[in-house]
Amino acid sequence: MQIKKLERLSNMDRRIIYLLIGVVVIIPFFMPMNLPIYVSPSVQSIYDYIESLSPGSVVVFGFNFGPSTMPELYPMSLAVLRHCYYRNLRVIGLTFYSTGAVIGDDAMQTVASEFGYKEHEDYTYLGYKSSKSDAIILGMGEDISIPFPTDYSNYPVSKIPMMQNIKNYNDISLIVDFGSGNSPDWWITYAGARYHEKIAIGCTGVMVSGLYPYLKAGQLVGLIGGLKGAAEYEKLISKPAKATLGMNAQSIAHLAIILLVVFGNVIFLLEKHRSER
Amino acid sequence: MTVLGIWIATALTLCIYSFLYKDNPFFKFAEHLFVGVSAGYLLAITYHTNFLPYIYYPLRAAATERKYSELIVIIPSLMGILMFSKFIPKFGWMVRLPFAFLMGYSAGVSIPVTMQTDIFQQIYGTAEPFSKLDDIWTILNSIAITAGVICTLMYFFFSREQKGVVGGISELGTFFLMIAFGASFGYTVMARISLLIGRIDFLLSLPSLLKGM
Repeated sequence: MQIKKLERLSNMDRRIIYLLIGVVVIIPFFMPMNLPIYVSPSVQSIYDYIESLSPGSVVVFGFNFGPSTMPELYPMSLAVLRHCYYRNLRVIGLTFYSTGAVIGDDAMQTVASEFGYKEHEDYTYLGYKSSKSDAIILGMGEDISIPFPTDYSNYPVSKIPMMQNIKNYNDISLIVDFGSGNSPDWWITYAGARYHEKIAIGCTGVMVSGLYPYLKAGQLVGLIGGLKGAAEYEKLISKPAKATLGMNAQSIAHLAIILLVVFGNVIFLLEKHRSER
Repeated sequence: MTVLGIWIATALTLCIYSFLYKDNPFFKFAEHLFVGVSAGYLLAITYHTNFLPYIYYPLRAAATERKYSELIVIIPSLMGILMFSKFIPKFGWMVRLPFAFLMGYSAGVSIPVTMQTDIFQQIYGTAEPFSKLDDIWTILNSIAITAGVICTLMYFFFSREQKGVVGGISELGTFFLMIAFGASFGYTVMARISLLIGRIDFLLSLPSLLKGM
């Protein structure tokens, strides 16, 4: 009887697990728990670096992600943008991902409207340039208007007031790339190694462990990893938003997964023990 | 986002998630629609953000404003067109020209900086903590990192049979690898749950989105 029960549990329909995860993710939206969020050093260091920049400094934002990773990367891009605007920094946005073009434009316009920032005076969105991203990054080291002759709305970069004194990386204080693919590697390899540019990365959770070696070796100013990193940054700028809201669901879902892993292992060991007897 | 857009996004989200129950025509429809829309979008945005500023506007400037220096774009444009010569068997060999250029360029540009980024800087990152051994934790951390690097490298050292001391070190390397895989898997779970949270947040905020229209 008990053996049958164990067999049934070990062959549980995966759809029950999907349903369980769905339920534990939904519940915190209706019952906010305000679980504490601790800021990690890699996120704090980006905040501190932006704090150290003098007003008017230029920060480049790379919106290198698409809708599939928006839940992780969009909140952190808004949080860092807001911090830059609090600090009166000038921002240039761009993307190497076709699907990132609209997202980047939306992010820059959303935050600019909150702060009354004007396009072409306080911020510029250069938009999307495809394929040979290494050539684009290297080209920006010579003259930004070579890879980007026009901005997202096809307005000549040479006529943009904000861009008059911004020629190349010498005029840029920081590059913050929000990437769901190879873009962080491109910036580190070409802008970092070739031009010694300061680089900060916001990435998906999947990519974090692969980027830690660069952080450890001092090739990055800091690293914001996944929704948790975004929530940490929202805490630092004291503006809780989507990421903070999602962290409750994230924590409860993780707890459920840990319990499922323990449960699965217990069943496995019990089955093994019985079959050996 | 318009009301219609919100409803389409909602319907497509549910179509995609219906796969969790089992494969069905709604999922297939949403999947095929995504592929088609992505291809069309890529074509349109590439035309507007690459073809126009890189090729059309310079050529127009050369023709109308007599900026003849802009005619230089003809060379890369021709190289690009040669990529399509593969489709004509008689001229198929011509595809080698742009490919040779691309390979030469890529190798020349990437090898030195990749060496700098992924080898020299990483060696520095591994050794550097030993220069500032302030407390017991820094010392232990530095030892763990160095031991991890050496043991893992030994695991991928195939010029000697993995027995004795070499075998022991490489076995220790597998422990470090397992820890790395575990950390990576944990982050992957976090990422996937985040995506689910994003979609559920969208679905739950549907009434307020529609109210705000």
